Amino acid sequence: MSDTIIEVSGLGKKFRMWEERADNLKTILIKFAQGNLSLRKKRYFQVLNNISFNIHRGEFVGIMGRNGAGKSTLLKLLCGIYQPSEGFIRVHGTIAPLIELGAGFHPELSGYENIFLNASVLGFGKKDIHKVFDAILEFSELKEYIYMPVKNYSSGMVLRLGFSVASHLTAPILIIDEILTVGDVTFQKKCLKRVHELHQSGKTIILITHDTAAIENHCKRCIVIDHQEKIFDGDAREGAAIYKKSLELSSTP
Amino acid sequence: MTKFTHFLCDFFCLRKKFLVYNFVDRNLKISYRRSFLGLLWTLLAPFSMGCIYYFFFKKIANIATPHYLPFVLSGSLLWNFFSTSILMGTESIVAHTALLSKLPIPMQVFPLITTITHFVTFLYATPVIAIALWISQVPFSWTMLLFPFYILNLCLMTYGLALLGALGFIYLRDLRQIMQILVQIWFYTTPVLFDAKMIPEKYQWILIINPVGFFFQNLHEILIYGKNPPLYQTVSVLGWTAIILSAAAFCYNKGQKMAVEML
Repeated sequence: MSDTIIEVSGLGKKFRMWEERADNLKTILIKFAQGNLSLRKKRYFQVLNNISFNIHRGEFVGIMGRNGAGKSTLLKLLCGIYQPSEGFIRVHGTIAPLIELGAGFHPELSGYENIFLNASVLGFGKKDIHKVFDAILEFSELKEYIYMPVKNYSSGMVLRLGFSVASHLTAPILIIDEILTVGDVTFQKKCLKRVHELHQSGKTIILITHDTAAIENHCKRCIVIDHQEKIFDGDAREGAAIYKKSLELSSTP
Repeated sequence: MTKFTHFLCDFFCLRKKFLVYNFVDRNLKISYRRSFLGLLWTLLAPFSMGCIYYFFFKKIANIATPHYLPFVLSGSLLWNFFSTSILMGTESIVAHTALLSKLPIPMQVFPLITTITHFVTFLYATPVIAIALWISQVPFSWTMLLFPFYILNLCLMTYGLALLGALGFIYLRDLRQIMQILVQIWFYTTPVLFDAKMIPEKYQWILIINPVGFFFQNLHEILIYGKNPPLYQTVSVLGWTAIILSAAAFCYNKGQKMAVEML
């Protein structure tokens, strides 16, 4: 139960600072003529600094932080979209990112075709889909509309289809970013219920959100990030309180 | 060695076959879904193009090349595949910024998908070449059997160039316009519409510095003249393919990790 599934140590991320990025010929030529096409003087800004934590198998961890605190960058690092500048991340198992619902959906294609498209974008194969295809259909409640082009769906239907695909094709680790705040209350409830089921079935879940209530209700543990660093790691209720405090501090003039 | 095969798997997206398949399928479906004639257009458009070329060059300019209809059709169809793949491939990575910045997808799949999509479109049109060969009564020759190998070679080169273009486009957004001009110049310095032998002696070097120069000459030789092209021409084409693929592999290896952040 307590074996480590994600190991993050001394993680730091820097981005190149582009005040005015020379990405067209005109700018490059002008800068070159002015003699300030500096290739050596690179400026960086730090987005994450010295973050370390371990996540164990079967945990339900919340990650909170203000806008710009570096949550999304952390998530992209965990998923392997970005490469760390410092430190390392070791993941034992595969990660399924629930970052955007319906990634790769094409409006002209039918729901049926889009299920396959979406699944392949998420990194799954033919066999994986066939195993859960019926479950996806049932959960989305779109059986009669499945051969209709997605452009004729309501936005709620698109969300339902996207969530059904993403939540049925799962890896041992799930990273959920904000997506539970879209849609109406019933949809949100249904999603949360599904996430709970997944947790119950032994998946490790990382929930990234601004919603302190969701963290308090669902997570045991929570990590708070502020000013590029980890400021808290522990009990979810305490973490939510610290996060609220950091918000208040920043809003006072 | 295992490291090398691992790299090749990544470079040609061999672990993402389902993704590639689905996207190619999507592209093909979308481009003809709402049109009346559908896939028939892939045959009609190049055929009418070939007829125009035939009328102008054979009937008006009175070009001496025999079997000009299959000659110009095979050339222009392949050129079409080659140039559209490169031009669309160049934009393909940047066009999928939204997906690439949200999901861990290897970015080289997009130039690959573009290349394969246009290749499949070309395949749909190959019957047109066969029909033209038949109409023009070109005698069958065993060298025609080499055709698939030539096409495979061109595919590899096209993918290499599309990937190079796409990686470059991330950093230099003028590349689209630059490529358009280059491809246009390239078209007229490549023996697509005319026979390579029509190029004067003192300009023959153009064929050597042109990566696809000898390719089109060889193509016409195996299809129309039933000749096996001289060894140096084949070596030149293979050499260019190797150079382009190595360059693409080198740039991909160097740039792909950082490139997502640059999108």
